[in-house]
Amino acid sequence: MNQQAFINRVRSRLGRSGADGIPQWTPSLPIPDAGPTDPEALVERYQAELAKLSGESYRVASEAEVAPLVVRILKEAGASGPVARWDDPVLNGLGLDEALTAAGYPVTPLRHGEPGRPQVELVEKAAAGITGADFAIAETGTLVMGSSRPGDAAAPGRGRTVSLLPPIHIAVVQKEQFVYTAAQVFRQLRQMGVLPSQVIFASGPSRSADIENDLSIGVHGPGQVHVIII
Amino acid sequence: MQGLKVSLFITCLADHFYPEVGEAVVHLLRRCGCEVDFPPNQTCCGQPAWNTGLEDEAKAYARAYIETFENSEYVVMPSGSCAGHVRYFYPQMFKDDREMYRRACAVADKTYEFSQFMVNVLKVKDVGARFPASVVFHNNCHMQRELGVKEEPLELLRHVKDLVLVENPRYDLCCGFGGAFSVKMPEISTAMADERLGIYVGTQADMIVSCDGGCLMHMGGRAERQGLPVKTIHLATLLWEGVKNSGL
Amino acid sequence: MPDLKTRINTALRDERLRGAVRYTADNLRTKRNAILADLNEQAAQGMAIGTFDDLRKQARRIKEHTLKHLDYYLEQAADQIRQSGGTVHWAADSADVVRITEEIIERRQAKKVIKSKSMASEEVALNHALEAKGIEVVESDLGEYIIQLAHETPAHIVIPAIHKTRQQIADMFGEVAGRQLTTDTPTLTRFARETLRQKFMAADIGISGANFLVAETGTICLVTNEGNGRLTTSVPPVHIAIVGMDKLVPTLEDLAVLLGLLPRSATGQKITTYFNMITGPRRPGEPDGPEELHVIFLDNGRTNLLGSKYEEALMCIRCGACLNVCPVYRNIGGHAYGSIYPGPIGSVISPLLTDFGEWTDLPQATSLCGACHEACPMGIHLHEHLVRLRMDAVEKGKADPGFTRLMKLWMTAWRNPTVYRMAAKIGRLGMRPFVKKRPDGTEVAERLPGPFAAWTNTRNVPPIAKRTFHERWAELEKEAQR
Repeated sequence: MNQQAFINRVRSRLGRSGADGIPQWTPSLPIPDAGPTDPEALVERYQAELAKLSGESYRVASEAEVAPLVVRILKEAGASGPVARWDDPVLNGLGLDEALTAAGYPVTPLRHGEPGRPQVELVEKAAAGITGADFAIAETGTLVMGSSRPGDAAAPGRGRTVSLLPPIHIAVVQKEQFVYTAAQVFRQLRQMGVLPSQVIFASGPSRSADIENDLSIGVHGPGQVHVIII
Repeated sequence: MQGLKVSLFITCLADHFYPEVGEAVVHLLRRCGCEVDFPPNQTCCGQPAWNTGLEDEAKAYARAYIETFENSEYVVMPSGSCAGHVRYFYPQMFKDDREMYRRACAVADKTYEFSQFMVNVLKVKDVGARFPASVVFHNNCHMQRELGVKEEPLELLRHVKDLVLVENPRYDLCCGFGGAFSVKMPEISTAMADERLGIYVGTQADMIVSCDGGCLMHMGGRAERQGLPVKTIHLATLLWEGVKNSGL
Repeated sequence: MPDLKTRINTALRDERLRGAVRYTADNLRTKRNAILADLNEQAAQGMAIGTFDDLRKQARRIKEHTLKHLDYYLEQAADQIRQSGGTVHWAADSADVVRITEEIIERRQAKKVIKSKSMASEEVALNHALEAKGIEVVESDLGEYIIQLAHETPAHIVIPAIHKTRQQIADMFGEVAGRQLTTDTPTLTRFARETLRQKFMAADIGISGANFLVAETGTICLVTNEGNGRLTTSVPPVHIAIVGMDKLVPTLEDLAVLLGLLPRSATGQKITTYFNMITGPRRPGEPDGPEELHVIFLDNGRTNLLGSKYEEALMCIRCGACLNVCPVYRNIGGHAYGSIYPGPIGSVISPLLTDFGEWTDLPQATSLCGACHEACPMGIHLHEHLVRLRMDAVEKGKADPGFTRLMKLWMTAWRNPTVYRMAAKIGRLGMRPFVKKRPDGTEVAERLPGPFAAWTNTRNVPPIAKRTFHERWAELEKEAQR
């Protein structure tokens, strides 16, 4: 079937022989601006929601505290092996590579312009994946991460698999990135222009109840999620 | 409220199998000062035809009901299922016929299930009954959903002296009668009755009270066959027995 | 396939299945009720985008509008997908989907396919067709993987393997592993994770469905908990999405409403672990992601509903809430329905998608209680559609002829008041031979002949009263006059 035939069938069922012009549509919400706007309130709510989902979160006062905390998280999790990370400005200035390598975790940043299987295979072998985020949603304990920076498809190496393949996901977010609802994220994404090929909303570790309704954690995605909030 | 003129629609099930329910309704309405008449040419509301896909036959029954009752002030019936059918489906049936639609809406507006009428129109919650038993109320599906009547029967029961009203843990769960479904799909219908009755037996209530003859016949018939320690009774019957019991 | 009655009776005899179905349905229902109560409370304090009823109303507006302009939104979506580097295909029916998929497989010389949960792909029996051509197809959703190993169909839309015990699961996994596995959840989960991870890494093509498709950006949206949806659509070099044409929504912002309803209605979650938004294949320079994205828009009978009195059923977001409240479903489980879509929604769309073919009798398997309509986040009047389908079946001559003839005869005659009153007398007489006295003097019938045996096989029935209400009225009238 080709497009024209498909569309014609739709039109004939709708009782029309041709197009009907551009439909007028304004999305709306009953309570469009729900929730608090104060970053402290948002972070607090986010942490509570993430905890309910068996995710871990940490507050640090400055960027300098991030790298040592990441090392601590990995050691406490008993992780061993290489660590993958986004190659992205939000992470590049944190001194992660030095700290991690020194602690026995060689680092493989994803690089812009080197796509393909070898990249994915490296990430697959990593003990942990470190990313930033575009937003954090307080109402549901959710991180929003684009495979490239939203609105800037030429931005360097983020990708999809760093937050997905390794068993541990560590994310670094700034408290200014917090919003209350997913609706606010959709609104902002809409204004950001071209979308990355993937935007993922991730809320805690992966789970399933397919075995006798019993909860399994860490099914295909990461079994541990750690969020560091600056 | 005194002196309301009420036409009784007996419903085919009550007419044939539970006429005492009709008698109870008449006595209770009269006690509240109503004048009750009974148009003799009434038959069935037509729900069996509607539910088995016989649209034309169902509309014929609807027309007959409309013609019979459209000059009444109020129409009251001891069945949430029939009242629901009249109020919810009669107007829909005549969407394409302006005049019949108007008449259907008009008669639907004055059609009430018994407990709905008592509590919402007559404003009566206490009929002065005494009925020492523990009972659980069975919410007929059409009554709670199409008709939107949930609290009214409970209000009436709460005011009965010496009656213990036990909570219904799954008031949303259908008993499995479903009209023709009960004989067309008897295996599922019976399985549903068993689950429903199991829950009621679990409440340890002596009696299941309902506002619908179909549910009562189905649950009562199954409970007896299975030797379950629970009896079924119509709300109107319980209230009228309770009034007689109270020595007033 | 055996007929509906046989399938139902088989299911009714399977106590374990019924127990599992009931447990799952009650579990999901309870969670849904709790999360909706929470939502309403939060909304009352301005801490959520709306109450359940508010969201339901807005969701209906979104879908009503979209369906009314479906041609526009399909074209807009197609343009956007192409602009972002994807390829668009149009499938009138199952054969088209299979052909399109096989062409892609052929061109890519693909041998291994991995799938994330897609009801649309099951609707078109894609796995079967591909396996017949020697392609390895692996279901990656844990529940779907389990039933794939068991060679069965799903028992529930959201949790497909509820009828399997952990022992059965351990045995099946053990066969794949070549060793015995313990039955604890972590062991079974770890096994599934490791086995399927290898499959993800080796797959040539990942196939998914879509929960929503945003027309203004051509974005495919997937709602999952396990991560297999992400892996299927990120790791293999080719991603094929099979998208029912009813999945469209106009804008990104409309997602807020639908995402607010779907996880809550399905599993009682505020949001699923992952909500994946895919717009085109990997952008040039992105370090990973598929090279090719194919979107196959699927009709397969959906246009039968469009523009008909059943159009509303196209608003379904496949949450399964109707299954979880249905008193029939909880007694017979998903398989008895036979169709890929079970329960109330399945009983409505299955006959319609297949033009009143083999699923015409599914609307018989309901007591019309209306719980489905009450639970549906889109407010679909499922209970009314079921009655209308019964009417359509009669009109098309596809209803049980004996039963229909009997009902028609009875209902036509009975409308006459004289016949009605006479029938009572005849019925009373007819029942007499079967009526017994209870110890307390009241009467009951335990066995009736012919079609009435369907009642008395399992239930007692009161006899027709010695005097019907009609026959007592004269006396009652006199009472009032005294």
